[in-house]
Amino acid sequence: MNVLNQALLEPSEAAALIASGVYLAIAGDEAVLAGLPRGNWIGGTIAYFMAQEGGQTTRGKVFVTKLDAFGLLPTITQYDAQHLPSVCQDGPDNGYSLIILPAFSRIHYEFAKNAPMYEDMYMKPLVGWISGAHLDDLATCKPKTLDGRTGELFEDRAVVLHVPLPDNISVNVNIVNLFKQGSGDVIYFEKEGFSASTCVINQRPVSFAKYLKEMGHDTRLPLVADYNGASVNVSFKAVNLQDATVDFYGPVFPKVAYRLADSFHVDYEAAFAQASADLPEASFSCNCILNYLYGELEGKHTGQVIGPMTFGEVAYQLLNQTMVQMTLERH
Amino acid sequence: MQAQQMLPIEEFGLAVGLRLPWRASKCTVNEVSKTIHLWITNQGLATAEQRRLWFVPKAARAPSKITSAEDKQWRHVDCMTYSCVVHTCDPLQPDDHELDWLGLPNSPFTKCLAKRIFQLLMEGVDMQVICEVLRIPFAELWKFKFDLDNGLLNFEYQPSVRRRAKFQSESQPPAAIQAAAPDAKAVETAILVPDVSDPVWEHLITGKLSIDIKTLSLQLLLTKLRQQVSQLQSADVKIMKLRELHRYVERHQRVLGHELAQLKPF
Repeated sequence: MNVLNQALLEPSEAAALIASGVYLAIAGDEAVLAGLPRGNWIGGTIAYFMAQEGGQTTRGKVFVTKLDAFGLLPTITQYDAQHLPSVCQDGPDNGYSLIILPAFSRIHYEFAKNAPMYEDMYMKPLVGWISGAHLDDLATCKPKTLDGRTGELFEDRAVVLHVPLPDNISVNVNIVNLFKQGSGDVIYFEKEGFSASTCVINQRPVSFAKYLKEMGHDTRLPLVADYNGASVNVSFKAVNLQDATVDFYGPVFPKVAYRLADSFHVDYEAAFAQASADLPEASFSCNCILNYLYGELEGKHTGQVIGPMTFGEVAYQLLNQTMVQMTLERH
Repeated sequence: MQAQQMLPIEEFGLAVGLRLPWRASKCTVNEVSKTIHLWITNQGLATAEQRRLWFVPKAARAPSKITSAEDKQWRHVDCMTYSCVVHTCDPLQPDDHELDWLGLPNSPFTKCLAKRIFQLLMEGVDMQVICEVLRIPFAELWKFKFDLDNGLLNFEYQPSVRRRAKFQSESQPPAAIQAAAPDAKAVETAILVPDVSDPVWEHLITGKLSIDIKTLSLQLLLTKLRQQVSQLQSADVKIMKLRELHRYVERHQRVLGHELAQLKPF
């Protein structure tokens, strides 16, 4: 693997790695994942990747992330929606947890809505992604996760690798978000959810769909909230003027001040290269399929950072249109 | 063997803490799950039973009510090695939900058990430990704490004698604590991470103090805590939030040099 821990591989190469007994997170097409041998791995379906050679859409290869525990023993755990709130508590005292959740499922929504409230959230590093499908297959094919120990595929379960690390190694979770809050109106939502009909702007309730139309907003640019210096996006899924609703790829929350993102005037490839130039080599990384699509990243690079292009990214909580990167630091 | 053959049903009522006019009306024991199910009511007794309670003042006896068909249930404190679930089919008034042996409409726990859980949380007991000790599902405890964190539940904290002493010491100025630190390592830690009683934490969590944060987990945690604290009524739960922030910083101090450097001068 050219960056030691991550690479887009042929299934036969992935099978050889599985056979070696190492712990892996694997992203790929459902049929390919199902054909891989049993072993110490978790998987999720996706067909879009940022590979060593640049952005690729492929059903034939798999993206493999090798998770080194430095001689300690990782554990693989499946979670249904009811038991997911203990995911951080179950994580190692020193180490991290890598989670894969299936898109558009109950557990995806449960995580999106409630993850910030999970016990030990932010205390222990949690990274991961939301599995998806090839966009041509979305009508017929549900996103899935897979427990490599048994080969079971799930439409409504998260799979998690809890990876302990020696005490002299700490974990850093970083995000690269190309979007910044614009200088426009501050937008509040009264209810939490994946869709909104009204919002509050300048202390007045406003139809959000109408507001977006009046502003002529390009909905490829997300809503952005400032979380004490971290820009957190909520991406637009659809604006329905007829029934005056706006749907999102993640939930909006009350009491959070959102602004529409500023547009940026360089292309995605250059912007990612610039933003990730100083990042150290990642042990895990992923990026959003919306960045892949809107940025037309097929065949292009995002700096040195590679990984699956996913239906949602996890850096503790669910993120949209964001690159997530985890690095290990030796003390 | 059925429990009611071992103990009269009234005794079970006493054991779970019922006070008149509430009484136990039915009890079953599930030997497989080791659970006692106790149905209670505040309806008047049948004549024979009323004779046995002739000593109860008339005013304390509840008027006869029609029971509703809906069976409401709450997990109560354990009865020896058995879990205890209290049921009632009575229609309930808002005040009834404040009784120790009943619970709020959406709560899985009786008020009595909820108070104990709250006490343990305030004492800093790990949630997994609470689940094991009280034998309650993690998902239910998490929901309880979610409501607590978001100001949907209010309890008063009654610190134990040991904790009260600790609380009093925490309310002293931090300099006093630092002066009392017995060894060099403890002093060093106190300088790096201000004590939990230092006002800096309250200023940080309420937003009075703004610092430049580079660490993603702290950015996200502080955002959550500030939102929660802004809508909390209970001072006790605010203390719990301060401790959560302090615990985070202590745990991650080796990667928080940039942030801690801004806390030190305060």
